Amino acid sequence: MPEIVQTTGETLRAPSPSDEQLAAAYQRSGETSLLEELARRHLPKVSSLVSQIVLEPSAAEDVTQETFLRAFRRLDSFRGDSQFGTWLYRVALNTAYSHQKRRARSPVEYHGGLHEFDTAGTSPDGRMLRAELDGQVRAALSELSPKLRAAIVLTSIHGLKAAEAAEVEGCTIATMYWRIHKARKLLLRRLEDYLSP
Amino acid sequence: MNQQQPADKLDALLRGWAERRQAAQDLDALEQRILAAVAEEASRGNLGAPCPSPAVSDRRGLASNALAWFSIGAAAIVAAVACWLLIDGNGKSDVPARQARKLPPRSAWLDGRELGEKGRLIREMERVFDHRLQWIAETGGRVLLEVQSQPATDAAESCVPLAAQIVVVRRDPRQPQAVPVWTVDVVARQERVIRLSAESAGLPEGIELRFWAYPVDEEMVAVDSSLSFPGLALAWDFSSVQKCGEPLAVCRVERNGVEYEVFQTVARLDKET
Repeated sequence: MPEIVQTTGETLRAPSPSDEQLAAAYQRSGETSLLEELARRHLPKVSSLVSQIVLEPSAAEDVTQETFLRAFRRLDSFRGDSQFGTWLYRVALNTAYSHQKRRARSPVEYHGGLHEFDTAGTSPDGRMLRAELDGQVRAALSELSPKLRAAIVLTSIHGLKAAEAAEVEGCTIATMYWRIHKARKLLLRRLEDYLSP
Repeated sequence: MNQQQPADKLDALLRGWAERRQAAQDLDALEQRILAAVAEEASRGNLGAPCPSPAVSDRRGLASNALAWFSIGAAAIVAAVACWLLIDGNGKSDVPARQARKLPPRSAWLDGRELGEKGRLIREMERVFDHRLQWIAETGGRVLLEVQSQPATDAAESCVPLAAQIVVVRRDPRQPQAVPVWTVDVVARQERVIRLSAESAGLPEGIELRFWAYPVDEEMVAVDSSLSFPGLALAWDFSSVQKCGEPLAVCRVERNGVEYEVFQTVARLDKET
């Protein structure tokens, strides 16, 4: 009986260039498509991070766009000392902080409702509870300072280790530990009702 | 801080919120918007010029290298002079003596054997109490337990078990060794709130201890603790991070020429067998 060999049907392709290679290639050639590729690769993570720091969906889109433009304007300051993604996260956070400073006189308020997120597929009660929960999480995060918020977002949501988050923030590991600790403590207290059995 | 629930429920809550938030975003539209903005900025020549020629880069590299070496050299000289001044000032140095006095006493350390025993103890006691155990504390020859009414959830069981030890030592200048005068040992999973007082735990009148810890990674642990020890006029309120397994001096007072010092040690038990 002949042996059946299953193949995946995939053809071998050359590995795609790394972020650092794309950035270097842009600096040599000025070819805009290289920047577009970098933007495509990093958009999901950057927009997610910015949205979790800025908290206001429409402002988050502006800040995300500004992040990429700032990064590309200053691409010559990327020296390859860290990974491109880490450097871009740092630009994103700094852009978000600048936005927060501009908005300092009008703090973020929660005006969320049932339509804030796509909750299709759940019962009306479930949607209402989910919307309330999401509103409370957002309100709790908005009460943290931007630096504390970034510490908890980078580590708890984006899964960075404390040392990696410290590199993104450009602070010492001890400072990052402290921010994570402080943020967790405040959130646990603020969201206590939603963490009970 | 909720002693009924694990900390990782907070992580789950945050991740769920983030996922729903991300799902509500129209990434395709945002991508189109950003690519259009990049193209527009590029057409205006705002997105940085291609980098300088390699020759220029090399020259810049050489110059910066020279500057870096000069800076390192200068820093080394300054550091050497500073060390010489510190160590050899007036021909004598009290730095080693000072450092020796600050060293944690042997009683403040938790050795591997102790940690192994504590790890086995918490797992065994959790089984005995049907996963309702909150914490175990031992002080003055008494063992204290707190047991909750409901069994812990599976997630609570996955929280990191920790051992903590708080030791008050007495340093008499006439005696070479620091003598422990009060010790409390605690074993609990992360983020349990432990409160010990005269009323709740039969401690000597006025002594009150509160403790909470959360491991921020493999090596560091965040701790909130406070102790009041009126008999020795000792009181501290600690809220910071410390290295796992290393005693940390958190409070020091001097009375009638005798020094009292409090050391706090916290270690993870999930690495021990």
